[in-house]
Amino acid sequence: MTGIPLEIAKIKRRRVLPITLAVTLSGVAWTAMAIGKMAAKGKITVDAVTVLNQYNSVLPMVAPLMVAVLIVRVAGAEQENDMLTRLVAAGASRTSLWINKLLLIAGFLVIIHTIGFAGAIGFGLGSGATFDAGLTAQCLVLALVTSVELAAPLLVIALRGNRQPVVIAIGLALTVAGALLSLAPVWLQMVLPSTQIYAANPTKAVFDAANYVSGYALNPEGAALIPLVALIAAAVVAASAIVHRMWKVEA
Amino acid sequence: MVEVGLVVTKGVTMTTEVIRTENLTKRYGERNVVDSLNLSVPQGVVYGFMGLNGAGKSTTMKMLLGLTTPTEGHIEVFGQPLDKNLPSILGRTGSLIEGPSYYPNLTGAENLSILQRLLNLSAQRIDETLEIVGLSGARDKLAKSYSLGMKQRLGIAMALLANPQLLILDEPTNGLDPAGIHEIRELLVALAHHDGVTVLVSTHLLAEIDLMADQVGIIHEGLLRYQGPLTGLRDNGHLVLRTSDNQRIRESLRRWGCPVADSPSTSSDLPVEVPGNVTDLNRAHIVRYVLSEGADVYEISHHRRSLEDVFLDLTEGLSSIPERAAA
Repeated sequence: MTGIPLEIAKIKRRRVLPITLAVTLSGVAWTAMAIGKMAAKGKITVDAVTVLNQYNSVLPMVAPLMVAVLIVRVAGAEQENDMLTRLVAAGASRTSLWINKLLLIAGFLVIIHTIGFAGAIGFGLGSGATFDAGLTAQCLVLALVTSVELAAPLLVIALRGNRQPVVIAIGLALTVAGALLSLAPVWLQMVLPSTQIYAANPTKAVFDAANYVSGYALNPEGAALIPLVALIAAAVVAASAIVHRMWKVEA
Repeated sequence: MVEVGLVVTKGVTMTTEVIRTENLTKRYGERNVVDSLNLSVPQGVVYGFMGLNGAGKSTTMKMLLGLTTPTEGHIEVFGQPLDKNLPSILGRTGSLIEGPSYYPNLTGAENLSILQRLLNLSAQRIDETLEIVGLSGARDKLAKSYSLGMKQRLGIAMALLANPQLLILDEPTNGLDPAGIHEIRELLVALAHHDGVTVLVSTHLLAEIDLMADQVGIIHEGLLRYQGPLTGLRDNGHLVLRTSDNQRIRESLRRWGCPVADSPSTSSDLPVEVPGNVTDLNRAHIVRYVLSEGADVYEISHHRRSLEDVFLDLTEGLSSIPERAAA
């Protein structure tokens, strides 16, 4: 774990947390507005399930861009002036560099998602919602797992030459995919890391006879998919590590 | 004890060749960027690796650092195959390839600190190295605010940080002012001659190599056109003699035993050429002989091609390698 402090030292003054949090907080703001609107109308009970469903609905659009920005801020320090080549020429292991960066990114994701969920729940509590620790933990784990699953291959791309625009472009494309696939079949949602949040969402909307949302309820079928999502994420991380190792950069 | 490429002296193992390549080739598509290169860099010398832009210098250096995989051939560094001993070899090697690399968001000292921690070196080395390259006064300035010359110095500092036994530097004086170039040149020569560090330095500046290199390798279109001491490249020149009857004197001198160069035509207008560095005494003998043959001497001079001419000939393929160089 000695590599993590070194990775932290490399990103000094790069304002990783504030810039990435700004993206995340746009999702929190969207959730706050939705909850506020529901509370004002008074037609739907604003409880823990409602709050978490709202935040989970916006995460597949916000998380890809947030992860892409996070990777660019972390890996960009290495790439802008080809320090990766310099470090490899000095004897550093490319695999260790990738692992240490991914661990650092995972650490940032824990902080950012915790702040994001705390913000959304905070607005919910302000609107009279209750707090459900178990459900919150489920949603937080799902967000974290899918974000790491997305971060691993993006980090491989980011570390292969100065590919920051490509990483941001993928983040934006996945944001659009998140908007388009909200009502897609579960199997299709399981294809992309970000839309797996829709598929394995432990909450769901309840529709009335006129097909209007009449409330929100627990979704045990979705929650049952969380272990599968974790398994897929582990496989993607392992595959990314292998590709990074094999996909040697020809300096 | 017998080891390939090593000489054992009084129990001390001394590597005679720090870098040795055999048929080193790098091919991109159909193009051989580096072609069957047999490089031999002895220990404790400044080896000037010269060539025009795009000749294959940087690609060769990247292969020597394991940053690019050779298409064919074999590399030995410190007497060990590079591919099987990369981490230990890189631990003894400092490098600067294709301009300085640095973290723009960190200060000069912080940049060195990243490498110092990575290589498990003493923190004291940071200040020592900054002092060596003349960046002590700018240690706490952000690297992105450095001038080009300061960034180059920072790159050299990174290469020197681990007290390497081998330095591989690609155009290290790029962007430096004349005083900076002089300082870096003196530093590299001192490292090689006083500390026994082997320095492989690439450049396309002939004057720079002339002032610091002990050995040179000239690469052109991927092919090594010359390798050896710089003196081997120097042209000994030739004596030019213009007389009232050049053709007759040419034949006469040849019969006398003087090594006269062949004339491309039988025209009497072409002056007589005597190759080599003809001594003053021999010049006097020749003039006396020509006068005794009844010819008038209009002009006698010594012509020598400059190092630049020889280099351009080698890199533009206009002539063959000088005889001594080829030997």
